[in-house]
Order: sequence, then structure tokens, then C-alpha cells
Amino acid sequence: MKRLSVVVVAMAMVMAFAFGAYAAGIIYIITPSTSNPFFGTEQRVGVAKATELGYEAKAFSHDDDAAIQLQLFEAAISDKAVAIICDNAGADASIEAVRKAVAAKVPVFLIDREINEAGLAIAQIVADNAQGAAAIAEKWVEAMDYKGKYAELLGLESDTNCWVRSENYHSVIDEYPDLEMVAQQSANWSQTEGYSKTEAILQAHPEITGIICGNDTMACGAAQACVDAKRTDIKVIGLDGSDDAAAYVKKGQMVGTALQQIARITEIAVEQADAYVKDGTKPATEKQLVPCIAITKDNVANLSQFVYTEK
Amino acid sequence: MKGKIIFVVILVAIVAFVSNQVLIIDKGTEGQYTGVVAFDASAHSGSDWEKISAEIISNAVDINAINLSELGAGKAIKFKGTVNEFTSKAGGKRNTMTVTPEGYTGNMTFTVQLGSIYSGTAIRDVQTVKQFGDFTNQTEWSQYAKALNSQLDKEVVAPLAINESIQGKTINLTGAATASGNAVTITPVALTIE
Amino acid sequence: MKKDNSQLIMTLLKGRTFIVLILLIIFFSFASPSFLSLNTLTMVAKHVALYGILALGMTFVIITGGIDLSVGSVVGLVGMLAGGLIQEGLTIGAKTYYFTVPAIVVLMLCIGCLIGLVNGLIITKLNVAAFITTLGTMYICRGLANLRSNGATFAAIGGYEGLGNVGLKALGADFMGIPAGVYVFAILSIIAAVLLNRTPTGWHILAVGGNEKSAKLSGIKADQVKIMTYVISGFCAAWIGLINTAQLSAAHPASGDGWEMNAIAATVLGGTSMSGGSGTIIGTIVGAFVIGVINDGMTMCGVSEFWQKIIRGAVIILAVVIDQTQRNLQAKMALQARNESK
Repeated sequence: MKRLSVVVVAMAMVMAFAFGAYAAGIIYIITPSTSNPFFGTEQRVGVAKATELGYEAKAFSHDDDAAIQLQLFEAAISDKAVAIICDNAGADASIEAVRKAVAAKVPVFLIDREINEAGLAIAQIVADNAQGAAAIAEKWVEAMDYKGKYAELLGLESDTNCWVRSENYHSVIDEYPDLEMVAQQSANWSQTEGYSKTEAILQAHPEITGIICGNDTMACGAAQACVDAKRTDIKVIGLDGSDDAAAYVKKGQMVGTALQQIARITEIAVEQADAYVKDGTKPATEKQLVPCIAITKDNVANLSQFVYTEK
Repeated sequence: MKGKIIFVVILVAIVAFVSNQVLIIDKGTEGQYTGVVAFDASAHSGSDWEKISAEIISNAVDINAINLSELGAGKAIKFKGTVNEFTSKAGGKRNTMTVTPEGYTGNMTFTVQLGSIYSGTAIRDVQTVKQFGDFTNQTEWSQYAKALNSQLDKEVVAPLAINESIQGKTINLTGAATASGNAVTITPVALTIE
Repeated sequence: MKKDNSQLIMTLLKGRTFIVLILLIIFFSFASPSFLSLNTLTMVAKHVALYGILALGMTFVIITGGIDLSVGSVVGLVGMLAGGLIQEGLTIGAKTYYFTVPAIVVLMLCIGCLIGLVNGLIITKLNVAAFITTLGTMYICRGLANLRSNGATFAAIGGYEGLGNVGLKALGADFMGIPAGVYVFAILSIIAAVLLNRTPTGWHILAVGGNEKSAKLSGIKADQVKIMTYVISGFCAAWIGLINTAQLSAAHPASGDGWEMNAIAATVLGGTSMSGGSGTIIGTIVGAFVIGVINDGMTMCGVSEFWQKIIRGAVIILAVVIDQTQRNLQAKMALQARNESK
């Protein structure tokens, strides 16, 4: 009997979470794992904005698993959500989930990353990774003085953005024949792996003078590894614009990063969802590209919590 | 023994079935069967270049007529000016010149990109012939910007074979300008040396 | 009186997972207004099918006292191989081979069986612990899945009329309102239940799990039986690789990452003992539904993913604790009965 009462208490606890206040509708906010502050910002800003506009917001993570993402979309459909805001788990692998929602008349607003199909989502508000990567790569080749050996830390190789970023880094860097890549490793977007892979690369290729990283968490790991190895001559760049990276940039331990204005992007998405839910207003174009801002020590002071304010 | 016979029979059945269910074609000829063509940015930029350069030239405004702090991500501009200094970096792959536009009195510096590598996406961003929505994704969109830049090098800058001798000369320039801080960067679309 | 009471508790304990399932459904029906609808239940069944089919194979493995950690990676690898065969074909020399979808399904099921065979052979013939062997194949299969496309996704799994390889998406479609995966789950469940309960093979599997030595003494080829359970597990995982790819309309190398844990959880919830020797297919199916209902129910209630993980973990531990209690009670009752008869 005692055990039964434990179960009842546990269920009551779940119940307490379950009953939210009645709202203008439910908005699902689905993002990758919040262990990266970038995606945490998406959920935080998205929930805050949706709540402010009178919706009940439910935030989940698909952990970059397209199948879990599909399940979350289907749950949103069953839950009669009025809109889904999603930072998707792959440009091709996510199309089916969006198609499902559209078929069930649940409007989808994609943020940060796009999908390889137009005409499904109401809006795709995309951080211009291609431009951001090229912009910070240009700062980096300048800092490298157009020559030297370097290493690259890739993100999760099944993630579209991993290759968008890498290709665009290389679109700039590969035009300079004196810049030679001697190592390329995946650190799976992770700070710990960024640190350990950098340590290993420094052992194998002590001659490198630069490391390009697919995102800021890996770049912070790499920068820390360089600091610990007393290799402050190594030029590290990342991409995202997190406060952690900004701190390294300020200390001169990282050349820079490219800010994806994710707080702004998420707010725009919620606002457009609100307009669409209220009276069917669609944004002027489905695909909206929000440029990244190259952050170096010249302008790093303007960056805070993924928001850039010109001072 | 009986088990082994069943196993072999199943295996033979599978092989027979699968080999019956296959289409064999010559390597690389899939397009004939599917009608799918791979994306090639230079195919777009080649045919679009004429329209784009005409559009930028006709939209260009005199640099003294606009507020330079509002250049932002890019604007089509034109001016006549004097070349101050020609710089060549990265083994001649990154040539630039600084110029002073006629009649300009502010404290901005003007740098013109002269290839053969151009940074940024200014040309793509000021044109309206093609939109982001015309492409499948941002990778193709950025490849398009690169392709436009190499097109401009081929059509506009490379034929002029610019070197240090340009210093001190007067130029007529139309291009896409972007600004960051006190630095204005111009990617040329039309350039003549007087 | 006391005896009646403990018999009632016994009955309740035996059907505990099913009772928990019913309670969960009732609870979520109140907690989330749209939960108790045909659409939602169909959706839950579709999600359950993914873990459930993996859990069917896992049940056989765990009954023999083994474990198969490689199934999640097999899901990813099979998906990538199938997607690659459709999108790029198989190039040998100057020729490219495009298989029809039925041929691809057969080939992929063979691949699943083959990986299972390798697992089984290493475990029995080289005497490597199941946990280690399948941990190894888990990494190998995930690596191969990524290697197949260098991490990219195969998007054109719909196939092309001109190449004669259209049709894989049918595995992700609905027939008469029910997703194809649920049919596969139902059919495989029936086959699994018959295999385990109505055939000598099933009896051999239970015997090997219960006491390998005495099974061997009674003439059962224990190694063969064990190898077969891993082949079954690989076969089930290959089905999920195909179904998942069809449902997503894309083959993604990270697919199935961590799903082996859901399969193990479903199996354990269903009353299969981790030490082997006992377990039922129906229990596993109910266990898979408990996991599925908890996942979807909590999502629809807006419970954050962090709480979902905590609750899922608590439910699994609770299940095993109750399982243990039942065993103790059973032993006590048997002792009592013997004492009374004296």
C-alpha cells in the first residue's frame, strides 16, 4: 500500500506541472539540446515572448534526433498546438515532420536553420551561417597574415550546419595557398571534445598557428586547451556569438566569432506566429535571412546574451 | 544437416530474388533516368551578370549624396576619385587600393577590392535579380555570391591588369559598398582609369 | 484471510505493468484534454512501434542472459545503407546497380541478421562478454553509418520512377488510418510470441537463459541458441532502420542514437529478468507502451524534458523493485504452502 501512495504522490507532482493556466493557445518550441547556451536562449526567449503575447508555451529538445523531432511534432499536432517554432534537426531529415504539421494545419515557423524545401513552413528565419562563417574566416585569414598551418574542429557531422560552416570557412581560406590545413576532426559541437581534440592535435601538429571551429562551444574548448598549453600564438575562431566565446575574445585568447542574432530571430518568429494565428497574416517572404555579425575584440563589448547593441 | 540445407535454400532464394530486382546502368548516367541536375552556381551567375551589373550601374548613387553611416550591408554607389595606395597581399591574390572620392571631406577611408579574391557578399546583396528564395538553401545562396564575385573579376577587374602604376591616377568607379566603423569597402562593378 | 490478501496482491503484482499502463492512460486523459482521442492513441502506437520492435529482439537476447547495445546503431546504419542504395545505387566498376525497394528491404534485413550473427559469434566462440561485444559493434555501426555519406543525409529516399526504386515511403505511410510501422510491430509480435511460447526453439531459449549448464547437459546447443537471439535482435533493428527512414523521408546517420536504452527499458518494464531465464513477449509489448505513453503524455502536458528523464528513470527503478518484491513474495508463499501441507 505504501508503494501505491508513492505512485499517487508522483502522479500528483506531474499533474501540478501539467495544468497550466488557460491561454490563447499552445505554442510548441522545439530546439536542439539546451546544453548549448545558444539553444537555451532560443527556448528562454521563445517561451518569454509567447507567454507575453498570451500563449501557453511548451519547450522541448529533440537532441538533434530527427525521429524524436518527428515525435514531438506529432505530439504538438495531437495537443492541438496553434503554432510550432522549431530549430530543426537537419535540412532534409526535418522536411517530413514539417509536412506532417502543415497537413494537420499547424503552422510551422523555423528558426536558425532552414530546411531544403520551400512552401511548407510559414516562415524560415535563418541565421546566415554561410555569410557569418565567411565573414569571421576573413578576419581570421587576416589575423593569420594569409599563411601558416591550421586545424579544423568540425561539429556533428550529420548536422547540415556543420558543413555549411566548414564549406564557407574553406571558401575563404582555401583561396590562399599558403594556408594549409593539417588536421580536421569532429568534436561534435562539444566543449569537452573541443578541448581534448585540441590537446591531441597540438601533440601531433605543434606547428599549427590557427584553429577554426564550427561553433563557439568547441572554440572555447580549443581556446582553453591553447591557453593551458601556453600556445597563445594560436588564432582560434568560432561561430555563434556566445558570452563564453566573447570572454575569450576580450582576453585576446580567441580572434573572434560570428554572432547569430538568435534572440532577435526567435522573437521575430514568435511575433510572426502570433500575427498568423490572430488573422492569418503571413510574412512577406518565407525565407528570411538574418545576417551574422563578425565579432572581434574591436566590437566584442557590444555583445551580451546573443544580443548585439551598437554603442 | 537439415538446418544447413534450409539455410542454403533461403540464401539461394534471396540471391535469386535480389539479382532479379535490379537495374544496372552506366556509372554517372543517373540524370538520364531521373532528370535531376546538380546545382552549379556559376551557371546562374554567368547568365545573370549582365542584368546585375546593369541594375547596379543604373541604381548607383553618388557617394557624396548619401549618409555613409547608413551603408550597412550594402548599397550601389559611384564616384570619381584619386588612387592613393595600391596594396598586394597573399601573393597577389588579395589586391586592394585606397582612394579619395572627389569632393569628399569626411574621415572615412575607402578601400576598393581588386581581386583576384573578393571578400564579402556585397554584389549579391545589392542586386535584386535573384532572391534567397530562388535557391534551395544558404549554401547555394553563398555559392552564388562567390560566383558573382569571380564573374566580376573576369569581366571587370582582371582585364585592367592593375598594379602599382595606378597610384595617383584618377578613376571612375561604380560598385557595391559596405561600411564597418570608419572603413568603407567597395566591390567594383564598373571601373575606368583616366 | 491473510492468505487471500496476499493472493490478491500477487495477482495485482503479476499484472502490474498493465495496471500501470491503464492508470497512466487515465491520468493523461485528465491531464491533457486531447490525449484520449483516436489520433493521439494512433500516434502513441506509432512511436511505441519504434522502440517496441527493438524490444522484441531485445527480449530474446535478455532471456538468454545477454544484452544487445548495438541495435540503435544498426538502425542508423541500415537506414543509411538503404538510403544510399536508393539515392546513389551501388557502384562497382563502371556500372551502377539500382535495386528495387523489395530487394533493398530483403538486403537490409540480411544486413541486420549479419550484424547479429557477428555479435553472436564473437560472444559465443571468442567468449567475449555480450556487453563488451555489442558496445564495440555499437560504435562500429555508428561509425560506418556516418562514413557512408561522410555525415550527410540521404534525402531522396522516395526513389525515382526512372530507376524503378520508388516505394520505401510506404513503410512510413498510413493504411486504413494505421501507420505501417504498427502493422509490422503487430506481425512481428505475433511471430515472436509463437516462437517463444509454442516452439521447441522458444523452450531452448528459456532453458539456456535459466541454466546454461543443465540446458547443455540436456542436449541443447546453447551457443547456437544464443547466436540466434542476436540474429533476431539484428533482424528487428533492421526493420526499425527501414521504418524510421521511411517515416522521416530521409536517412540520417545519427538516427537511433540511444534507442537501445529505450528497448532495454521496455523489456525490463515488461518483466524480463536481466539475469535471464524468464520473460514474455506480451510483457515487453506492455512495457513498450508504458514508455511510449509516458513520453508522449508528458510531452503533451508540457512537462520539461529534464523532468521527463527523471520520471522515466524513476519508473524503471520502481518496476524492478516491484519485480523483486514479487519474487520474494512468491518464494515466501511457496514456503508457506509447503509448511501448511506438512
